[in-house]
Amino acid sequence: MSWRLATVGAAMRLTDSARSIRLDVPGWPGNLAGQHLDLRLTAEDGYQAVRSYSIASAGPGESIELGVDRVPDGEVSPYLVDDVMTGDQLEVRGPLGGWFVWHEDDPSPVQLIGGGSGVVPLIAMARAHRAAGATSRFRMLVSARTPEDVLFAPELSALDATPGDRFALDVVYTRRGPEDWPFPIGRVDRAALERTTLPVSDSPAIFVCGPTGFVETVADHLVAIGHDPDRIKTERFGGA
Amino acid sequence: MDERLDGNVLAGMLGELFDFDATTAKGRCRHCGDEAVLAEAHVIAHDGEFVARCRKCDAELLVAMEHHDDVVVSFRGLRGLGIHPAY
Amino acid sequence: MAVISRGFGGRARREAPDLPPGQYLTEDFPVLSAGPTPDVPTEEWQFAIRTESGQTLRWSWDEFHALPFEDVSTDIHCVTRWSKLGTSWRGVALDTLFADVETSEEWVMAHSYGGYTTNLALDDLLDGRAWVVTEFDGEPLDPEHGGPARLLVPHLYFWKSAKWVRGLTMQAEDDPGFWEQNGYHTHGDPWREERYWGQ
Repeated sequence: MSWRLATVGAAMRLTDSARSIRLDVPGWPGNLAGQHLDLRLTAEDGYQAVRSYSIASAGPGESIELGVDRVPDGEVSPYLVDDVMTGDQLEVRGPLGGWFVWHEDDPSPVQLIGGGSGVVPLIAMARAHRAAGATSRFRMLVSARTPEDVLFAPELSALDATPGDRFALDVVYTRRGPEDWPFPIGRVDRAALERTTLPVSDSPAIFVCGPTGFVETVADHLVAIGHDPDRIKTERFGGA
Repeated sequence: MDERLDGNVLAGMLGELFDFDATTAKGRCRHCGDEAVLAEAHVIAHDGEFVARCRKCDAELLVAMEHHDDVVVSFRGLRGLGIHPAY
Repeated sequence: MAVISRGFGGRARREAPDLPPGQYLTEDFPVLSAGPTPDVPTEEWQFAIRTESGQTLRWSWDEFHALPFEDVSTDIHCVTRWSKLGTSWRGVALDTLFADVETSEEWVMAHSYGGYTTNLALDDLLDGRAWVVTEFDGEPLDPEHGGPARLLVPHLYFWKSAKWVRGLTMQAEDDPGFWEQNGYHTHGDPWREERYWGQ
């Protein structure tokens, strides 16, 4: 494993606090859907900071996409969200992690559950699922503060609008919903999970990603509902 | 700032030591015997220092540090680490 | 050689010539923790020193505050490569706490609320080089930074300055503490760059 030079190819605002960053990484071997990388920044005096970020893209190629949300008081994420520009250089190590990964030959129905920027590795899975033309059912639940805080919202809506039942999107808003939103506003609870996620009888593979509190609450509810703990994979994100 | 994460975050550092993905290896907690992949351990991270704890009993499984190109990992809370291709 | 990322400053730092090797200057407060922050009410807080003979000296919060306090201004060096210059603390010198301790052992294990331990040589704790401090920058020590009381041994890497300290136990051998069992150097002198095992 070694650090590779990465050049920022493009940066695009996703929400008020999040940005999509495309990196060109010569020698990148491609990555599976759900994997992450370590990103290293070096200041002029030699000081270094390393953080892990999920990869929003999947498959072969030397161009990859990250989705980064600004962590208040963080050290690396504010730089990536507010400062980094096309042409800037940094280092990455990866692809990393074989656990929180969706394999396109897995025929199981899949339930994705993302809180905040926990959506990033899940959209990689949704993209890989679509790119592979896989016929397994994907259902995705996103928890966001407001409609303006959903990362990759246009792309998720487009996937949801695709005819057929291969992909379905649900959103739970924790602060404010769209006008005339018929569902409760608040944190994802057992009732919201029962309303919006695949039933136990489907025995779905479940991927949960978000802040630690979100991941632990959701995983506990899923087990209480009756899902097999061995079918639930979790990833707690950091990246401050 | 301390970040409460999980074993997934250890993949890069452990990749400096091993040429396989150690986060998918199953470890056995020396304290309570729980078996789980390292990815599922609870991890507190701060400035390149990581303490991984058992998801069941909270005992320390491993302690790791990476500062610049130095990587040091202690596995003293693990009674073993195994690769199972089925996982 | 690492590539420099344009415009990345990280936390605020400034140039300083007199730092130990491999250290960078920070204006922040370096925090090092091995687990959740313990919550120790001062009415329950105790500090104790126990010797090989079983002698135990104990101080409650009020008894501790009846001891002579000293103002300490010192540089601190964290093994994560941060140094901070001219930090100000207030606490009781270990010389004061050890005044009535009778021991022939040369080694000390510091114990913290929360279970953290770190090993030290008694020599490193005496002669005005170590304190148990309860104030930082004129304010009571924040729990995140080790309050109500932490050890302060500024001539060693900062993990030796155990947060949430509750006592010292004399030991015959230099048995390693928490970080020392897990990879950090048993002594931890920043000027000799004693960071890890085998250095």
